[in-house]
Amino acid sequence: MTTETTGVTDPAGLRHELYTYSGEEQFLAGVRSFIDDALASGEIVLISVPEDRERMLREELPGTDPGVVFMDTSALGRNPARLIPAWQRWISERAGEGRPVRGIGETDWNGRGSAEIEELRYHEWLLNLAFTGSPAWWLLCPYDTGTIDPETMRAISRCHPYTMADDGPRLSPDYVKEPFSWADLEPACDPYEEFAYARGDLAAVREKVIGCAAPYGLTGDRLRETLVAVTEVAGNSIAHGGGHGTLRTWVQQGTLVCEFRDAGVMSDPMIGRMAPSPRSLRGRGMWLVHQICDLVQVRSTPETGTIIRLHITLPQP
Amino acid sequence: MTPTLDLIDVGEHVCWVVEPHQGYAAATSAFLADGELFGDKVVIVGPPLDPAASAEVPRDATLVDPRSILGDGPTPDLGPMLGLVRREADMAGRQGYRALRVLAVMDQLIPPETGIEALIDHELRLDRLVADHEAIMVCAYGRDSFGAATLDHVACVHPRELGNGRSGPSFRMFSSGPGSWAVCGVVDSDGAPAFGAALAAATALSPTLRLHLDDLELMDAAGMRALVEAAADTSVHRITIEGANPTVRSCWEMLGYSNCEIRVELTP
Repeated sequence: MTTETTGVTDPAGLRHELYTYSGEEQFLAGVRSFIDDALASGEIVLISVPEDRERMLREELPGTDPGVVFMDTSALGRNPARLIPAWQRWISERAGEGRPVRGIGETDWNGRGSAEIEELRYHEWLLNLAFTGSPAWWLLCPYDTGTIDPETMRAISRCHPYTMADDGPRLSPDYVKEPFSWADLEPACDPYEEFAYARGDLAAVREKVIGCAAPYGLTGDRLRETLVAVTEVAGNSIAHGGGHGTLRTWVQQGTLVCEFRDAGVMSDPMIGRMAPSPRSLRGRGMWLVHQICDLVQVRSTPETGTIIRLHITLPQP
Repeated sequence: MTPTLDLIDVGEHVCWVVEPHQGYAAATSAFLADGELFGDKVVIVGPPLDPAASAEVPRDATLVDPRSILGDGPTPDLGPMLGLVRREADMAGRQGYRALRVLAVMDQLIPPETGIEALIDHELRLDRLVADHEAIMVCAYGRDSFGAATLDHVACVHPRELGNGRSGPSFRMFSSGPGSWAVCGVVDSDGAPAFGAALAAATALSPTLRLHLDDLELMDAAGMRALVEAAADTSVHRITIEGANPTVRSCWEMLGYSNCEIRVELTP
């Protein structure tokens, strides 16, 4: 399955640059040179990296220059779909200062399953689309080759138009301007519950999800948030997906998965990944779903219809 | 099984969905007999009851022909119905009755072409009226006279519903005091149009509104959009939300409404 939109926004939008490194020393060397270049050019550097990397950088940059800003990523959670709107917000907040902006964005890959890795790869691909028309800015994506398997790393390379070399940034020979090619979804975990829904069945959809989640200790506010998310997706099926759909629920590796299938097509690859515009009240449902769920997988083509999987991390037993 | 109507207390406003085979007369006998037992003034707005059931009607019950209060205009005017209930409720107290007990056969009262917004507006006004008076109000809707969607919508604006085989609407909105309304259950995309219509009717009654959400489980994006759209009406001064649970609050924030200039305030 592919996502059909292609494109790289350069040079007006984002300069999206990959930096592959191995170990802390190489991380610091590459990132430090990126920061020094930015500061020398009077640019602001926004840094969003895992906690241990941030600690390392703070030690490396004593009396940090006010042009270096560590972003608070605590509210972002694990869903990669929240990263693009976060960068958009951070950049717009700095736009008023009138200085060019650079970013350093590294994601914590520890404990990521294959579904999360696939969504992280899609996020990297989407970055090339998301900043079309935005002011020019430069994002460095450090990847530790020691923690990521080579096949995944090759796939990540194909999403970055630029790469950091010893003598500075250069066009990446690995980059391929092509529609995103999805890996197949993992099969539903057996046993799973299945329920066909149509108009008037939203309450029944919620009951099915409660029935699957409650035995695993998902209760209270987190259960209610989950019910909001499943209500949104099932409601989309009814309103835009042919009036009906099929829900499957299962639990695997400490995660509740709710899968929705319908006949509709979601043609916008950025759906739910752009902060709602104050000018329009519509189109906020998938945004809410991405904000609530720990991971959202969307696969949609005219041939197959739409499959959406919502992942909710269950409480530790 | 025929639902009983004899457990209805003073201050209740009930939606009774009547099955086609059920008819009105037999099932209302206990309701009417209770009127006599408790010393209530009974008013029936609807067709004359069949002879077999008329023996059950209290001797001093008032039978009102719907044609006498609907007027002859091209569009239905439900105002006279409200006036009748208000007038009879005021009189009932002065006449020494415990309360006014009204059964309205809506099939006869509401022309089929009446829009859902007008129905919701009417029922919310009735709810306000019942809450303010010593009254019992039963609105009987024949299932074969009103579509399922209409029944779902009107049920939303009754605190209570009776009828066979219905799971009921996902939410209910009813009076909780002057300018105040309680919303309970779940407002989702199925119920959002009815919620929007109920808010429009409530803001027409009072431009400053309080919504008590203590018993609201959740509200999805469609429900919150209905709330924002209601507040955007130029006639609305402010909608204050009280008692919202953390999920409703966090969804409101996630949707970006807490940072917008919207005349909706979520109180802590």
